Amino acid sequence: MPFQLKSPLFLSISLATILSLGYFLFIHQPKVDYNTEVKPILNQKCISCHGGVKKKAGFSLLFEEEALAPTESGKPAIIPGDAKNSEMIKRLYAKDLDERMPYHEEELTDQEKNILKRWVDQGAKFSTHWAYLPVQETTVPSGGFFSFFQKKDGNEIDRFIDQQLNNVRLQRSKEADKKTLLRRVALDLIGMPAPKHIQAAYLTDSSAQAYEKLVDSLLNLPAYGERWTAMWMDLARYADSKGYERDYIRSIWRYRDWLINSFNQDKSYDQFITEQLAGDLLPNPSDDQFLATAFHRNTMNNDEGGTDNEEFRTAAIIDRVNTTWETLLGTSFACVQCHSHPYDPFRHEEYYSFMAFFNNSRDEDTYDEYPLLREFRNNSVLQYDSVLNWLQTKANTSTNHFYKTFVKTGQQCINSLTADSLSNAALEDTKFLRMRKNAWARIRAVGLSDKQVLYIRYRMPVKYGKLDFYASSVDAKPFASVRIQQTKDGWQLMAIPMQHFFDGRKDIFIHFDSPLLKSNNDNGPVFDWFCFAPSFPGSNDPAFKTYFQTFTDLLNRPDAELTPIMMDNPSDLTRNTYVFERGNWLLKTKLVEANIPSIFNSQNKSYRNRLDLARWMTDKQNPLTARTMVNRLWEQLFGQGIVETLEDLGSQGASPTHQQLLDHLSYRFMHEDQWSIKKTLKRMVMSATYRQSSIVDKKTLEKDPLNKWYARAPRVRLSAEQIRDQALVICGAYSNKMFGPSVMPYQPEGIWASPYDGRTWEQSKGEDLYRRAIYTYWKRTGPYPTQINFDGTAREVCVSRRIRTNTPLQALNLLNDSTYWDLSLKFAKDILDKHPKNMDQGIVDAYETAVGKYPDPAKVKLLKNLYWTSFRTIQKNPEKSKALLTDSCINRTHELAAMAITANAILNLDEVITKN
Amino acid sequence: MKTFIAHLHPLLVHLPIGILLVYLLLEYLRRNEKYKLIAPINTILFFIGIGTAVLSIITGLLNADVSTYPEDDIFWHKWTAITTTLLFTLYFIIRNRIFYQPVYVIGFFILLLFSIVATGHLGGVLTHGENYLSFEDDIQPEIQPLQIKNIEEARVYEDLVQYIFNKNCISCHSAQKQKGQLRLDTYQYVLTGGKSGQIIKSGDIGHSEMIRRILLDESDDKHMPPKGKLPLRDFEVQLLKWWVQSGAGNQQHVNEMGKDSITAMAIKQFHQVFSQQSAPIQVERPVLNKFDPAIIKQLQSIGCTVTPLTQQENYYRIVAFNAKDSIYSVMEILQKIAAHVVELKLSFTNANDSSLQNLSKFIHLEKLWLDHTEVGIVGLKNISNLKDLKYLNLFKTNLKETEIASIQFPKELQLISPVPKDTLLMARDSVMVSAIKQ
Amino acid sequence: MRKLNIHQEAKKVSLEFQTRRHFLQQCRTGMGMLALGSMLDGCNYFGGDKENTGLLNANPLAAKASPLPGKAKSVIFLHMAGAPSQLEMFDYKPALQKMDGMDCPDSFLQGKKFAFIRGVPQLLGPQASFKQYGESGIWLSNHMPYFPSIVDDVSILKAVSTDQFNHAPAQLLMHCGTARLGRPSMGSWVTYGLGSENSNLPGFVVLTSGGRNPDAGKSVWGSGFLPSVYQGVQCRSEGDPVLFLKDPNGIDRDMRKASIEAINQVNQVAYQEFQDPEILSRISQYEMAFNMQIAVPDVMNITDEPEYIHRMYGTAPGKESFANNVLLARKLVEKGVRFVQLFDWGWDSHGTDPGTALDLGFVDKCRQNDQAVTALLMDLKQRGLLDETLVVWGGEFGRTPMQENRDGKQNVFKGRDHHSDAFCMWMAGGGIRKGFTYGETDEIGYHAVNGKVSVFDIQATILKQLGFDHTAFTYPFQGRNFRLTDVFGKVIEPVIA
Repeated sequence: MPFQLKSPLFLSISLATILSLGYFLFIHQPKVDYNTEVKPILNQKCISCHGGVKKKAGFSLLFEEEALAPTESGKPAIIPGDAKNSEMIKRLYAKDLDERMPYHEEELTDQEKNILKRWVDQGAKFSTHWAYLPVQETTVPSGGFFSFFQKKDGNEIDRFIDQQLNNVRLQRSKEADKKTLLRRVALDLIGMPAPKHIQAAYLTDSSAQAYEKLVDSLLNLPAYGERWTAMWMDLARYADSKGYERDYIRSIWRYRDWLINSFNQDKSYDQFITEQLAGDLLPNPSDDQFLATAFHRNTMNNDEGGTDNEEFRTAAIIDRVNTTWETLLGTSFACVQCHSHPYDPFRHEEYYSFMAFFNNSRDEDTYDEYPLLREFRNNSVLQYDSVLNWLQTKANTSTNHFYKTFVKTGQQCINSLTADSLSNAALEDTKFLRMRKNAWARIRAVGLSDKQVLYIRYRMPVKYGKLDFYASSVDAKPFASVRIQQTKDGWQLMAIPMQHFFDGRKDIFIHFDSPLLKSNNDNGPVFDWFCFAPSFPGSNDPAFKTYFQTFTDLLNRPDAELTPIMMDNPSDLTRNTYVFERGNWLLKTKLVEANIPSIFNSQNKSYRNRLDLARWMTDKQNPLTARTMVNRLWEQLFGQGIVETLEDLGSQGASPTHQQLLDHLSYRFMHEDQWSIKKTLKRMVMSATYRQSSIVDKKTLEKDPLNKWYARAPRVRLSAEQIRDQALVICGAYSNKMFGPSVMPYQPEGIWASPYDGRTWEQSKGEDLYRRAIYTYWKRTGPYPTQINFDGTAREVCVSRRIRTNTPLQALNLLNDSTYWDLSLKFAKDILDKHPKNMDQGIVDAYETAVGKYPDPAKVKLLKNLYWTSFRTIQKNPEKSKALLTDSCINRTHELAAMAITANAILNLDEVITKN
Repeated sequence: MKTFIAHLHPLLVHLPIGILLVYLLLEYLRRNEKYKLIAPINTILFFIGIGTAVLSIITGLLNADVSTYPEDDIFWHKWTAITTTLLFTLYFIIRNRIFYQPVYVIGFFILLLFSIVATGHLGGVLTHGENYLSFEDDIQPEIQPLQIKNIEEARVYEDLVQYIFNKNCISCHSAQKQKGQLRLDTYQYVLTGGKSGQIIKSGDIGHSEMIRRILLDESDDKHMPPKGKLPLRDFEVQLLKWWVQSGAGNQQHVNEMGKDSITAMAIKQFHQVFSQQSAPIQVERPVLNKFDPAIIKQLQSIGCTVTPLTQQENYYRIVAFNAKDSIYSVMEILQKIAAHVVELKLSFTNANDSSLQNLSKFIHLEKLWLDHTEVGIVGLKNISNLKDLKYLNLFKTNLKETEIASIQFPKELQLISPVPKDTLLMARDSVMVSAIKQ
Repeated sequence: MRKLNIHQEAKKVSLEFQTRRHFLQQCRTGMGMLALGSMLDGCNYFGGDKENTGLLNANPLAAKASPLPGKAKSVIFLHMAGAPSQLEMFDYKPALQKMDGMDCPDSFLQGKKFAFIRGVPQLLGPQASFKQYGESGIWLSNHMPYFPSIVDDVSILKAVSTDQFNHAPAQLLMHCGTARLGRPSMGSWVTYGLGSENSNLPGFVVLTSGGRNPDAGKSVWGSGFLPSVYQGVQCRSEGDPVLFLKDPNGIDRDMRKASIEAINQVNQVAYQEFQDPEILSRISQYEMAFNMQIAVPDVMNITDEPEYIHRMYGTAPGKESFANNVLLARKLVEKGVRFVQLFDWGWDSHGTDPGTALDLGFVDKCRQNDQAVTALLMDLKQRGLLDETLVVWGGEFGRTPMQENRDGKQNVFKGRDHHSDAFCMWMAGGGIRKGFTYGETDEIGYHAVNGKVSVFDIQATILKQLGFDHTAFTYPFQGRNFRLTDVFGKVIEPVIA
């Protein structure tokens, strides 16, 4: 058919083309997305002057209402829908450098200007960052039109992964071989190679379910809890010492054991964090629930003489706030401490409202770290039970509760270092109240309603002296008086009956004098705490004396394990929380009440204490809790988070590689799996993405050097803990002893050298030398070198993500540390025992044990070479093997020495210290 | 109201300038037959032009009253403006008489053009500063180091206060630029003050705006010098305070005025700090082309540390500690990029005379470390034409003092002698003995 | 191209630096996953553009150019842990002598907090005699007989202030820019920014003497939130100089070489299989470890120094001593170590026992310190190293002009309490002015009256001498750009030559 230029069809087509072209070229403005397009420009180019810290010219871009409000000029800078007349947009195009924004900085690119202009024209809509919106259920991508050609293995996770891979034209790799997978999943789930029987079961099982069975059996091993505890200990900044100058011992290992048990029981995550944040506030808290709160007692405590306890108490509270946000909510909240968040919608004041949740905890940087949970042992258990029984039968509810708490936690006592108005008395070393000749001290505003007896804990260096207590004024008669005697072995507990009773709060004045003190400078008694209490019940019962004695014994010298825990102040010691100007704790300004940031509290509900806080955090509408944890679990398995910045999902963090997947997993985590960590982990390791091979070809490497799209399994160096634990297993030295106080495996001399701390590293004996890394004693000012060399953090404050490095110190550590040399020898002995004749076979076997795979012949050749070279050297200088082997009476010393060198080399191989 | 009208001046002035220039152009064109017809329009244009000119003059005179522009500078602007207006009127009156006499007309045109441009320019200078229209980049004034021998005899204003102004303030407050309508380049201007009035109340620091601004918190928007500029040093502030407190005169000498110990210290510091000639930070080096990056890889692979001197220039510092045994290769490779090497550290290596045979190629070499090497006099001779060489370390080499004396070193070279000075010990002992005796 | 004058040059450099900084931020969040080595290089923060430096360095400690031209290439920071008394060393206060034994005026005590002083203490006159020395006429006490011979080379800061009066927090503030734990130390910042010029030695070395670590523990050389590769490596005078440096007994160099070669060759085979660039970097780390095993003991051995050097420093090989450490510091800097930090414990002169008495133990401390430190400056000078080496000396705070009365009782010996308002430090070399004092205290040495500088100013100045603008040298962490000087600090221009 001849082409008709004037045919109506042609005309209409060309008209349509021209119109649509014109539309797209000149009229159509694609919708601007605030979060992905606008916010990044604002954050990078504008907000440092307009928002948060500074509001130049009265203009801030942080909150919608601020941005649209009139500026100093009287007019708003943004007029929604009218970019032409919006000062903000006009200023971007201004010619005069003094007018042009960003002020005296590089001009925005045309594209950036265009985005902002279109955004204002389209109404300048603000929207909330994705991470601050509740998690919605997401649909699993079907794969679209070409889904027919795609692999359908694995589970839903893979659909999300494949979708992205498709976009970048990459393909998932094939599944890794069975042995590689076995090693990988074991290291990931239990932190060390799988036990022999599980290995054998998996390798011989050729059914389709073999892998799933393997995963299940690993998840059920006690070692599982230990492995995930290792992760959580970083988040909880767990340490066996207090930190700062003297860095003295802190007994908090029961918290570590609580973690292990919780992981092993697969305690649901909401319960898990509720107990850690507010276990003490749960109804009738169990010992375990108390122990969980030690989470936030891992903050540091400064024992240095002359320090201001309030300063360090405040520092600890601030640390608790920051840690809660960073570890549990994946948000860097710390900057709000000094000013409104420059990039995310948190206001300065909200930091302190949040701090109010923690500000009323009882601890106040005292030397003994009160409050402590007492877990009675041996005889004490019986005594404890009998006292409880007595209280149950004799006391009313409130007295019963008072004394129960008193015995269990030593609360509610008043620490002596809160005393003031001292006269010839001193807060000795800012730890305890010391009184001398004719000394006075005051304790402010003590609640005295229903209190009939006063307990004191003290030490007395002189033979006797008189102690008087006055209420309100020293003119009145003392309401309690007692003659105290010299104490012999340490602290002494004493109950002093009060002679007058009071209502409400009174200042208490304490007076001490003794004729035995000659000069003003001679030392009198020193006090630990005072406790005003209702009288011990049952005074008219003949058995009273016995039970009262048992009670004081329990308080005084209990055979108990003491663990610092969280408890809130009783109502008469409540602290107010103020906003600190610019984060300076000395500049207290506005009084605030506990609350969560308003962006999360649109309904303005009331949140009063830590328990409310925990309820909010574990609410399924909380946008951050589940995402943070899922992201963290993903990072542990895949080497990087879906949002790479685990510590910040907000707008300053990295953007997620697979946001939908993160939401999908978070939704499942909360709803389907009921916060089960094990189920979520299983979901992840069952995916084909997890199971693929880590071998990469040049093309993929070039396209995706960081493995953001998971076209291969990640290959990452093991963590410090995994390296130690794996080596213990490989060399057959691993002790499966669980729980208990931290141990001290081999450590070089001179790591510990804190001033005023006489303690030394006392190497443990027997199997304690070969326990998993999480049981190694952690002193903050002298952390275990291997941990630090392999990127562990010092656990001073929470650093929730370890950055992997690769340094010569790591090489030296694995080559020369006695731990590894000792293990190499053990390994070598094992090999020789198994293969007494055939060294070559022994080497193959050793490699297989370490890497979990039959070696490449090229590698075997190299290792054999090393063995024989070493053997010949030693043969020439037989005294070398003597030096090499610590144990002198072994046969075949040459072979053993040479094999130890080879075994040591194997422990150093990249394949051994890397997850393949 | 007066101020408001006065401030219309900068707006209004553009009208007569533009209109009268167009008028002039059309007048010129009108001489051609083709454009004859525009004459009546042009007359209207003239009246509008001259009308706005008169308005401008009125507002301008008001403005001169309310603003703080220097009287001298206003004088010329005022009178050129009035002259221009008068000249245009004159022309309008006589134009028909001279219209067809090219010499007069062209002459008149040029005169008018010149006067209108001059008026505009002088006005511009007032508001934007002298160098506003110039081909030079905005440059910081060069401040000479202080040339005063005896600070006690220096003049307080001329030598101290003005020096501080010159150093810190006049880049924004001078003939060239008057931020806030303030000039600090002469005593008179300083007394006059700026937009918001006097900046100094003699004898009263508390009410002197200048001192107040200086003492504000650095983060304050009103703080002077503004953000991005170096703040005044403590002693500079002290001197200014002292000067204001003691009357803000311009006659006294330092020794004539009373001072407390803080001021005395500040004066001492002022003298010490500013009389030092600060050495130029960097030598100017020509821009060199890039070279094959593989060369750096080669150097690194044999143990050299290669650091660019700055992030832009193509010049390097080479350290060869870990290439101890491969100095021959190092020098071979370095030859290819010899001009790029500014600092070369061969300390503790096996460098010897033969390693230095091509040293003369390193034309930009400024620092050379040969300490703890086997280098001798033969090798050292190769440095003779390294004219940029400023530092040469020969510590613990085999060279003898006499050998070194035989070499002509560049004048400014800092030479580290090969011989450890045992005599230092002696010197120290004697100091110690004398100290203990005292 | 037109040449730029210095001013324009500096401006340009700082602009470039700013944009690079932005680049790093963006880069980091996207790439932190990788070993940091490749990360830094991928972003090429300091190294000039990629073509220029040429190599994708696997080594995060590779030397890098400073963003601005800097005079100093390395730093020796001599920290007298415990805080020496400025009133017996550098700050001569004749008026205080006259007031010796008088009750401290109330105006000095109001609103003040002390670590140990309670009630009304008495003023304590200088426990030393002073004279002026050198061309600069600087006052020095008789406890430092050697110092006069180098006094014309140093700048003494006489009015340094801090806001912490307890050891651990004040030491942290001095080295990490905050009184709390968790931030990187100065040495970590510097090695992060400049790398090391000698890959066979650690870039940041710490030496301690006095039998104890500083009060703030290893955190004062910790890397905080920077990758742990930048933390200080504590070199010890007993045992392995660096942890795990020594091969197990019976393994000689050849055997070690054989085993490292075997490890690297097997890794090479693994690389063929996995193509993971991290393996290549591991191979080079093992090579470096092997080299370190020779280089470190070599540089840490002072026995082969000539006799006159030992006499000069007052060293005695084989013991842990401050003098030995000072000599080691010189050797380390000579071999390209970037940052050497010395802590000498035992300067806390409270006067509670003879060791902490100003007229007993303190004098011994001064003498030991004086000889070694004087020798260090002389030695650096004669070796031509002082121009590029910045030496900083000081404690974490100063001491009160009052005699300490712990818990309200007069102490038995002459001693002073912690004092944060004014104390002395000095700097030398690395482009610092010679023979100069800056700052002044009131007549009893209590408050700064002039030239007051803060600990942050010291940090800013050190960074400046190394070629950094302390306000622009940052690292993103917890959603914020952190820097050594937090939000404070001002370069002390007068002490810069």
